[in-house]
Amino acid sequence: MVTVLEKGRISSLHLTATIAVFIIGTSVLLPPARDAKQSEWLAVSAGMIMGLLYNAMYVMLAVQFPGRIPIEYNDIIFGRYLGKAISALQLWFAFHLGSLVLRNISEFFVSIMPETPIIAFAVLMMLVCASAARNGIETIADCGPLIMLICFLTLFFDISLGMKDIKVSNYLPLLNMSLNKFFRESYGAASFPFAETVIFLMIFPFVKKREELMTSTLKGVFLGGAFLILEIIRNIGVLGQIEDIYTYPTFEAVRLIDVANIVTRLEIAISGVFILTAFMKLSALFYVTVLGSAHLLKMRSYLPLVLPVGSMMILLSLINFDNVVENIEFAARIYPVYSFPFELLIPMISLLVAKFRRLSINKLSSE
Amino acid sequence: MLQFLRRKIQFLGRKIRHSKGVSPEHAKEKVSPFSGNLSRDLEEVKSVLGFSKDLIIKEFFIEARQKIKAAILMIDGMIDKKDVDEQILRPLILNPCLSKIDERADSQDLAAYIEYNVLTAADIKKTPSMEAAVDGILSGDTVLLLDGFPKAFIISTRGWETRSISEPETDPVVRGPREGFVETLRINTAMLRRKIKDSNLTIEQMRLGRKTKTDICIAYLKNVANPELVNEVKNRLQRVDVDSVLESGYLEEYIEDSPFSIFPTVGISEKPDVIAAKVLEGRVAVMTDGTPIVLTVPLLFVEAFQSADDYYSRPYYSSLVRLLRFGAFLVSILLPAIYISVTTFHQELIPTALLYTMAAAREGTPFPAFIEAMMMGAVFEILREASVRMPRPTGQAVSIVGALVIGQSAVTAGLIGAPMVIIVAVTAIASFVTPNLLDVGTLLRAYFSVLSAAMGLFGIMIGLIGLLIHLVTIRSFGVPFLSPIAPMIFRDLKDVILRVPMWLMAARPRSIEMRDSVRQEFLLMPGEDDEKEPDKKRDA
Amino acid sequence: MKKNLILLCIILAVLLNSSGCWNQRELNTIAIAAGIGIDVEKSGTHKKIKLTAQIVRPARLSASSGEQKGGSSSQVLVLDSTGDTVFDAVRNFTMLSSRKLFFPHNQVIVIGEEAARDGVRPLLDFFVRDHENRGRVWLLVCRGKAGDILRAKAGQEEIPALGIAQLEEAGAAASRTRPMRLHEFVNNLLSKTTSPAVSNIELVKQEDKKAVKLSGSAFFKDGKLAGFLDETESRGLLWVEGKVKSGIIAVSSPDSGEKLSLEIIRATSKVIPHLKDGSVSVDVVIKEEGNLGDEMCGYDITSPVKLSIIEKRQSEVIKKEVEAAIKKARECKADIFGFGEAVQKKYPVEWKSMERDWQEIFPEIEIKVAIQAKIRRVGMTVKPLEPE
Repeated sequence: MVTVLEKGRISSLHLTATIAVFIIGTSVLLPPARDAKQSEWLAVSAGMIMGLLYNAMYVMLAVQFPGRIPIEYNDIIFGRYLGKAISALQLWFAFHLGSLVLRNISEFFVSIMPETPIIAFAVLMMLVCASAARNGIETIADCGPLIMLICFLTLFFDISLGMKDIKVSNYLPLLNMSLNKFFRESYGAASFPFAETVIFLMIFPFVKKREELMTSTLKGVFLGGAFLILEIIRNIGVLGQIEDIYTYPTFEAVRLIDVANIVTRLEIAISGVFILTAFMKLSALFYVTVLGSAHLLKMRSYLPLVLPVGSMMILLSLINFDNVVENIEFAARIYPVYSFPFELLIPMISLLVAKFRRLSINKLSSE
Repeated sequence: MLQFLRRKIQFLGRKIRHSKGVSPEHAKEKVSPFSGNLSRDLEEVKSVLGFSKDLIIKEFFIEARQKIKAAILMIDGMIDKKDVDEQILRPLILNPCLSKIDERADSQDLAAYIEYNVLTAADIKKTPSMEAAVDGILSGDTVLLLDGFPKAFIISTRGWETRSISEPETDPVVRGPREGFVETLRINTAMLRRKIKDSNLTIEQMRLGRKTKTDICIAYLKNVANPELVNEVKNRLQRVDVDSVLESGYLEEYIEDSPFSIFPTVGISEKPDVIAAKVLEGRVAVMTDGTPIVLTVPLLFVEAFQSADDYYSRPYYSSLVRLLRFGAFLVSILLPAIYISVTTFHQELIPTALLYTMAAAREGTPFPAFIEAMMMGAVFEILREASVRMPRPTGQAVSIVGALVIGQSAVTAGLIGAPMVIIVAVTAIASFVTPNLLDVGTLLRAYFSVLSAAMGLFGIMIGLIGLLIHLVTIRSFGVPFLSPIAPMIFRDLKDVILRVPMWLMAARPRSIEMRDSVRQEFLLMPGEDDEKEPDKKRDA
Repeated sequence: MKKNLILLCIILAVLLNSSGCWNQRELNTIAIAAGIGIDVEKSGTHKKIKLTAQIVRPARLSASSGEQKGGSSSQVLVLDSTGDTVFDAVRNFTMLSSRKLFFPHNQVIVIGEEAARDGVRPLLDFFVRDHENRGRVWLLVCRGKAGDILRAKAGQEEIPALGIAQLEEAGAAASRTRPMRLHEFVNNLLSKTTSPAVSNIELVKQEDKKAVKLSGSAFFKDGKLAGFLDETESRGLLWVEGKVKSGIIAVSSPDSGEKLSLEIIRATSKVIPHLKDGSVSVDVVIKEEGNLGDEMCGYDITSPVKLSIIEKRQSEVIKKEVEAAIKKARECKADIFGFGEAVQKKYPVEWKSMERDWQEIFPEIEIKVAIQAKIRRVGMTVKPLEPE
């Protein structure tokens, strides 16, 4: 039983906030669908709608096996050996995603403090995330609403202060691309960040009110998506064509805010949002990785795994890419394909098999 | 990390206890009863008390024929001599009826007669145990012994010089009651009762401290406070098997949830109105004899930002002040760190005109900003400590010297940049806004300064997240310390960031689980009497 | 678990201690750049970048408030450095200056004429790419060497670069030049058709000292300086862009030919492209509101009819200015107004075929200018200072 490993329970509100912040994390730093240029916000909106469908599927799967994490029911769905292999793959996805998040946020800080070695950022960041994760899901989720509130307040001030720099003509011409490309970009946006919430399959069992799972999850995806889309709309409006050439457009857009030479240099606020949301995302990913691994290895507690998995995640984040160009290439081209089996294929097959063969929790307990 | 340490220490403690074979329960001392022979008993008591010179023993006969000898024992200075005289000695010696008692009368009858008919004192107990009698003597009671009767009367005559009720020096208010608790427990409980005249106000008493035998009272509202909480408080207090309890601070350290946290998880106050308000919110108060400081549990982080004044003044300004306090706390812990990081890492964040001024001030100063901040911080702490410990008149001299030396000379001599002096001054003033977090603030200031000197604003943010995780993790008697912020309880925020009008605070804060969360009828807004529906009791 | 704890402490200690020198720089170890000038030096085929940096000397600033140190010495230090690339030249400053050049507070970038004619794209890449630089910096072009501009006095400011920045901001009051920030310029540079214009700055003599003055604008074509607009043409450009914030329009009186001046209060513009039978035409609609500022002609404006005559003349002046700018743009085949962008936004499909030849198409398109000028107020007097 997974309850042996985690005793905490989270409320629907906290789940919503955690999902919203999870989605904002790093995607506000490196907005998806950059190739869609001035229609990026449209592509991301379409991606969000796809993401909502994805998440509905995840919740349906979770409802099929209440109180259980995928590591447990994979064995039922796919059989003992294949199930274990798929569990391992899913854990790898969370682990790898965690290392990517760690790399991205560290890379961002290195780009503004270039003389500091990246490992310093990675280690400190990992440290706080690991300490949050080892305190359990309650700690992570409790931070959710507060961080979400901070994010939305920052967004409000950012956008209202940057409003006067927005040029409406920057949004035109709308949808100036082939449908194929638009779909590709939207799918990219769905795979990062919206469908990354697939790892919440391991967190859903800890939600107190199971009947509110669907609404609170979709609400979270919507809130996170709305935040992201608003930021992107602002970026395009303020930056125009150069939105495309900056690595961190949100950061650059906020940098341009200047109200009477006094309210200026606000990038500090937005870097705060970057790091807070990345913290949330990384701790959730890390938590899922250690919890799942402990379960897969039939351990009684996941605490012994925190240090080794944390160190491995730092190492992987360092060797993931040699340089930023590889990172961008991976995010734009490879990631949508790479994430496909984890985000769509496995959950979908699980759901279909479970529904079709009427597998459920009863079957599990009879084993 | 802290949890680990805690577990380790608990483990060690258990090991030691086992190895010494001491059970956690305080081993009961053997009970020695009174013999009934007065002179022997008196000798016994004297020797138990080590022939202390402040023990007063008056022997006398309680009837004219001088058949029955009696003695009263008390400690000089701890009794009210007038009470002893009027309620014990006078009735016993001068009562004409006593002499009419049949001399064959059993000592039991005599004792009963004395208890019911003679002694005019209100609080009389009988005990066969010498230990109890000695305890009574030491607590300021008078013990009456009768020859031939193997029990002692313990008559409450406590009365010693006490400080009169005065305005407490901590948390002064502009509007609101000026009285504060005193060092005597009974007076304190009475002050609380005077605030809450409800039959449900329960005051339970226990004694802690093997040597000090300090009286402890637990006060709560029976129908509001969560019974689990009350039990938990009692259990934790009973665990405290220590030598001495001289101040409630001794207890605090034994009953708090997170002994390794720098944050206090037990609230303190010396104002009866504050304690009454907390008890009315479903908290449990722990009063200790000998100190005006009363503990309340559970404590929430946000209580540090609430002041009694907030509730007595009108809500608008109070709400503004609330926000100000949060801001001041953040300023007091972060400002030096932010200064260090923007001047040594992120000069691009300083507005241009300000940068020129700051650069000009920094020109020629010998120390890096971090060292400057640490030095000035240390000097400030020394000054503060000196002015607290010094006798009042000297204290003023200290602050004048400090202000002159630091504010003027250091800058003129070019040792310290002028901005740093301003930063330290602002920080210091801001830290006084939340007096309950003064010590925490100092520690956090150093923590953030170090982090910012190492990693700039990234360090500060990591530090803030670390702090957030810590705050989210700690509990105070099962209640998340940071609630209602995390976990977020929206309806409780009305008394956190803002202080909404009283008539909107119909429900007690949800953060503390309780039996009865309804404080008053909803919709008591003045002028809306017509709309008031008596049965519209919201909340559950 | 104990081991973990020790390990953690070691990691923290190492991190915190060793990081002492990363990225750390005290305020008194940086040279705050206030203005940067870019020139090229050519010796034969070899081309070198010459940067001129105007560096603030904080010590002098503080002295000015107290006792005056050193008398006449300036509050800025101007240094030159050369290198193969811009960044190379930036780094070469470290051999001249005891402190490292610090860019985030840079106010202006002045590009010398020669360097600008060679193309600004390579010169500006550093200022966009490097994290220390900010997009809000003002971009100017000067006739002659940028180094000389940074050595001259500018306005009342003790730091000339700050003075230039304020001239740019105040330049809006006269609307005789096109103030341009780096991010906006780069945005236009990324467009295939638009020829962005920036302020032009030049040296003048004031009180026997060299000083600077904003004078008209310079425009770029394909990232290279293509020409200069005089003050009238600059305002013509601003009218079309709707960027005229303030300024004076001098109108000759219908009676005497003497001038009276109208202050521009607000102005907006609309650019509406049309595509008919493959030929492009652009409607420019400018709405302007002004107040009567002064009159040197004794013209009586008490009747609405008389006022409307002035309004009409006002429109004519504006129209003339706009047409002057259009004429210049057509001559140089430079789309300084961004008409191409406007067409692209309205007709994205047809644009694709035009994009390549826009340089040729632009001078040929029909541009209709419609001005709606109004006079709202006439000041505190309603009659001229003349006996009736």
